[in-house]
Amino acid sequence: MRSRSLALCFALLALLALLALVAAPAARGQEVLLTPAQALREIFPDGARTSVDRKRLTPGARDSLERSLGRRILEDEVDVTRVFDAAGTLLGYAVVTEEIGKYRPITFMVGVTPGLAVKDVVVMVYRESRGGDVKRRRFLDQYRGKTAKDPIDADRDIINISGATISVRSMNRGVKRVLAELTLIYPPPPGGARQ
Amino acid sequence: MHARFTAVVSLTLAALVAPTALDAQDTTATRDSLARRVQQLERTVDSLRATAERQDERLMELDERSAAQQGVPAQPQLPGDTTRRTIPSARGIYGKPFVKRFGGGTAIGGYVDFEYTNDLDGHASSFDQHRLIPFLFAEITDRLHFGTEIEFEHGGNVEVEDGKAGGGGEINVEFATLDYRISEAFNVRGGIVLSPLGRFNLVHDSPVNELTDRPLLSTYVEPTTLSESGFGFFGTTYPSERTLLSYELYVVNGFTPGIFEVEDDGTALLRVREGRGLRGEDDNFAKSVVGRVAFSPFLGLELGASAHTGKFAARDGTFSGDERLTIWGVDATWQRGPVELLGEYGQLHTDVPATLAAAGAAGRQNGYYVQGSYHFGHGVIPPRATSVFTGTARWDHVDLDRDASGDALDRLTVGVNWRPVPDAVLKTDFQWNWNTPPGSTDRGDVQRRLLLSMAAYF
Repeated sequence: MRSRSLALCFALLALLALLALVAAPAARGQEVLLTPAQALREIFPDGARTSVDRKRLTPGARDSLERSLGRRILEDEVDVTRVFDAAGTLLGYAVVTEEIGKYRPITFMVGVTPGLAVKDVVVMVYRESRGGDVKRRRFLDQYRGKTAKDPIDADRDIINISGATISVRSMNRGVKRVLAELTLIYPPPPGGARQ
Repeated sequence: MHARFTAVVSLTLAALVAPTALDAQDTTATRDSLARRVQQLERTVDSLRATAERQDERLMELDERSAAQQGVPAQPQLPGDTTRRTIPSARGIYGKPFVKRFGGGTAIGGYVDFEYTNDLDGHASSFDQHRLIPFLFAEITDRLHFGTEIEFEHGGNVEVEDGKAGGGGEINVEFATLDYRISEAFNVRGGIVLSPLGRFNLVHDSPVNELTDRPLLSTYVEPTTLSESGFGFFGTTYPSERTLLSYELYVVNGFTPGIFEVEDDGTALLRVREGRGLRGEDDNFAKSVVGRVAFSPFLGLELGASAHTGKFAARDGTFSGDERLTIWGVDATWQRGPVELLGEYGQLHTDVPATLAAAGAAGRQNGYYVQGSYHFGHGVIPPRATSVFTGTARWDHVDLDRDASGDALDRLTVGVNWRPVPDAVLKTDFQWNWNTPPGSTDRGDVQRRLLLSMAAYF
């Protein structure tokens, strides 16, 4: 009886192992989910033309960013991809950025509307072995519509993921930084809506 | 890049040496100017280091993309898994923040808490350095990881004399596991595992919990911290873009006959905490199984179910060897904006030998808690970027003998805590405790306690 229940236990575990091995893809050191072009297409499906602005952050601009974000900024410049539709209308801006997750950088693209609200966020390269829930739509959809004025903070306007807290914080930091940078680079016209 | 870096370092050194020569002229303005220059150069060096790190990562990514363009899979398989990684990285000690990397794939971290308890009705108070828990993580290969937590409780003052341990502290290997990673959906784990019995056992670290004391359910019915020697599997899958399913399943040594305590007056009590899982040699042939399944239908809601079952004793004068202990529970967490609700229910059933039953040992227990938290006052107190207050209330109940009246504990806790940063917390809790004695229906007088504590990951 004892050996039968033990054998049953191990048989169950072995079956589970077999199912998982068949169903699951192999583990990877890092997961390249999207190339920059694929990420752009996902965020701006109507985009027909792009142009890249390399914007240099002056020491004054960097100080201003550091004050508003409450942390150090190490970048000297930001590459902003402006996306236009076939008629030449500006659809928005896209910035590829990185934030350190638990141990390694998470690379993601933040797409922003001309009015400087998040259009969408997509994870391009995920290198951590845990916390992968942040690359899923169910998490990323939370950023849509956020602006530089929003807290973009777990337990406030972003739902945290238990077990992926650090990755969530990293994503929050990155989205907030990109919004702050774009607001600084393309300040909204005084009293008027942006085209 | 290297030439630029060397030049910057040379400039920095020159700037550091230069003030010595200029001191002779005693020009304060020059010194200030040089100090500013040194600060500027330090900043440049920091920036260059960060740029170099980013470029390393980008080079890896470019390598992969170019490989993909040449027709090899876009997501390349790992190289052979028998060598150490050339680029050391320690990913994982799962769910634990603040792990610092040493190099060579080894990382260290931990958490500490410190408590002050005032039993207002018993006129007793105490400071307690309750837990000091370092943890280590090593990425032996890209797939094979080792993680451990070593627990020093109450100052860890353990004195061993004539082979017997004394002193007021406790030193314990809380878990020590080797994980072999196959995929996100399926991983193999062996060692002293943190038993997935109830949600709280898996997230019991003081810095992540809003209140100082653990729930009564997690003290008496699903005894936290529960870790046992065993082997099994864990993983996470995504049935759809919106849903998540995770599981853990282990075969373990299981509990011991120590779950029954016999008092000096001969009364027997069921206290599973005292018979928690064996880490060394098992005391019987039968193994126990413990597992938990969690399902999240959408972000912010998680529903879990867990169970632990197995025979726990060898045949002797008291036990037949066929007695089985089964503990099961369900749990739920829900969060939306600043509001978080969570609750757990658990119950246990055990076969009780006739001699212990005659001495009054219970065979069935259950308990639950419900807890609500609200985060507020973000940035009211510096540091403004991270500081937050949380108000929490929890109701606890455990019935330590479901087959008899009484023998139950109830507790209401309200607390406010402040987190200067997410991984450190200062807590203030107030408790009202009621103890219903065995055979009674009267909850008795309330016992009030004030608890102040601090906890942080490091």
